[in-house]
Amino acid sequence: MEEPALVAPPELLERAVERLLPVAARECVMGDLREVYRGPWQYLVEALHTVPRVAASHVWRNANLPALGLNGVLIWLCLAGLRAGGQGLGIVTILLATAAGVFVLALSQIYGDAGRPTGARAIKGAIWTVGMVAVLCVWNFGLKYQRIGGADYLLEFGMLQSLPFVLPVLGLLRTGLLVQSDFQTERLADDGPSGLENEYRAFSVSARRVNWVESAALIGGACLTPILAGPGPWLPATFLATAAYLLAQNIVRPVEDAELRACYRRRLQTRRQLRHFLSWLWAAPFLLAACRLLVWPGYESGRAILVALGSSAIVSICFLARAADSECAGLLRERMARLEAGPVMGEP
Amino acid sequence: MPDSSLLGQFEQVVLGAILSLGKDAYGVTIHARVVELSAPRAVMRGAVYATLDRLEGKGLVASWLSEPAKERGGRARRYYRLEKSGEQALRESARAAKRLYDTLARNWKGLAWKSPH
Repeated sequence: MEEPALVAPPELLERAVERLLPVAARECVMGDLREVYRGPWQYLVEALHTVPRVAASHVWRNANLPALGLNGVLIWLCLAGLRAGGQGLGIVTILLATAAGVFVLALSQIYGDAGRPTGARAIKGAIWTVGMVAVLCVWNFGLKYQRIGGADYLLEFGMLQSLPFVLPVLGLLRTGLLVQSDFQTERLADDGPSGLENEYRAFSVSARRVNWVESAALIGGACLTPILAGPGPWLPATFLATAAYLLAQNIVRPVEDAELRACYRRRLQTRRQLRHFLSWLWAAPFLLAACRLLVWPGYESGRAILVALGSSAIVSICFLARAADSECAGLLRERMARLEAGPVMGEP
Repeated sequence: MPDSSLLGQFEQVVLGAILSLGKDAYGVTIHARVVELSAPRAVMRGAVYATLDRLEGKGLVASWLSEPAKERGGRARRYYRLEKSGEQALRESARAAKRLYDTLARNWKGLAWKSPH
């Protein structure tokens, strides 16, 4: 005898609700909504009452405010750096772009994939980054130099014409990063309490070591950034503030067994947001150097080759920072997804 | 160790629901029990998920995924249970509620417990 068809919501509606739910909550909330399904309207009303609360809760739970704040400072510095000489983007635009950037970052923490990016996704992400950077460069530099009366459309075209030459090289680099990441054998502990505890201890020790080394490097970097990024106290100050934050991270309270899973998950999340920020912080002086030493002199002297080289450098640096961040975040997300799932299929 | 002051009223209700459901505490059943405990006030499903999420963040409850179920479109259930710290916090809240009730009973002589049901 044939089994009766199970009652299910319209596929389109279900798929839309699934896309709006944070990744970590999809499995159980979608299942619960399906279990109480009585009709499309009831499903829609339930979803409208559920999705915003779940999304807001996940954003709040996953938000690492110091890391998001540092990210905001960095976005502000980069956009304000592009506004050299009082020209280019307006202060209000920069403020709105920074707020939007921080909001998107907070959302990206809950809607990102649960693991390392696949090849296809990595390529899409790379094209998206390169496209955004190119558009921002052309728009901002073009705007700046049109205002001071030195507009030359050939120079703006010079920024874009470098892209076809840069993209294959970046594609190869991205592939290399993917392959290297695949070779990395992640040591995952068994799901028992002692396995989890050992893994947490190993993670804590490694995070503390990295924090010490990186905070020392940041203090050194703060002294060297003026050489690359030019004079100005803000970037060195951000480096020093980050070093202080990393050292503060090393003061960790002891964890009770009952809280271990929640605490480990929180620390992985913090680590992920911190790594995201650090990838871009290390890239910032080089981005500013490319602007200061290549793009601006190129515009001012009318030498398209300098503008093309500078924009290629900017695109490449952004591409590499994003690729490194995406691979590192993927590894951390894999661990977090395992912790979200809880102990293997059953009551602990 | 979390004390009762860390628990909101709704958090207490959700913890109570998980405790009373035992091994059958997952999203749908917890929401149903919370609705029952909070009557006549309506409770949205989203509020229950947000509270569960917060309680898990505080380390008061633990969760794990079950096997996928056919009636749920092949999705797994997320089951919850109280951690020791959650039990302790709930016990503290119950003691505080009892002290309040005793105080009221002493001062309002004719206070009699009337169930809404």
